Amino acid sequence: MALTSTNLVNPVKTVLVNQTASTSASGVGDNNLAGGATYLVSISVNNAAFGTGVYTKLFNLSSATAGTDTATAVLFVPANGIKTYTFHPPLHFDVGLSMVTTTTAGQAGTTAPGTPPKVTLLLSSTAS
Amino acid sequence: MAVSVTSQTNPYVDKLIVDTQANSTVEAAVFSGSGGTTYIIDIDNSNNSAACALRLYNNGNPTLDGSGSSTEPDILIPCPKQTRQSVTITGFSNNGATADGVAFGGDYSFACTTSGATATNTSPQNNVTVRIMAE
Repeated sequence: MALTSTNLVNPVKTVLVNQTASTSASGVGDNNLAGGATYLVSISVNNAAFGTGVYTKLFNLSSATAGTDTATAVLFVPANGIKTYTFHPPLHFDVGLSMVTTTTAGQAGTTAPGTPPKVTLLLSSTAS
Repeated sequence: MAVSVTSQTNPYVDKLIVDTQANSTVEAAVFSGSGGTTYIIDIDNSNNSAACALRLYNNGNPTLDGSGSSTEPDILIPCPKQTRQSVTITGFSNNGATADGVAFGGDYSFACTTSGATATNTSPQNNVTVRIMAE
């Protein structure tokens, strides 16, 4: 069978989101990271500079408020740690993807990290 | 190329937790009072027409009573309906050394509900199988 390799003019959309200081000041972090529905491939939280564990909370909402909205996913990263969570298959956020990072778990947690972590997300427009 | 399979004397992980009926009944202190490090989570929700959410606790005796005062999970992983969702956790320490997984120093418990809301303690309608590779 013949092998062909074709460069795509309009490849599958992939978005790299880099937040140098993910926080929850006044309960608000970053809203609608992809401008609409998206798939989360992986998220890396760099908490190396902070001596307290943090919780990065992801919402299937175009706008979210810590302490009010229910997070779809909560990802713990320990003090001075760097963790990457990779999802197989990519996790679908069919409304939008919003994010906050706090030092307290759960829906009620709103306390912002003293030194906000760097967070990098790899997003895709498709599930594969 | 020949394939070889060898037993490792110092495996990457040494515990596989399997719960073939993960639900809102908390599986408490699965390491019998010791902490644990989670490397890979696999949630098989293929039997359900609704999403579910896996709650992992750094706590040997969390409460999940359907009230707003239920213990908040340290890690919450959603799984869409009729889907098998896996998550791998890798990482580093701040000195650059490899530090895969997330360690729970206290104890280790988990439960699975139909959503991640604090006040939800509804079990999935049909069986959800959870596999956790840890040590």
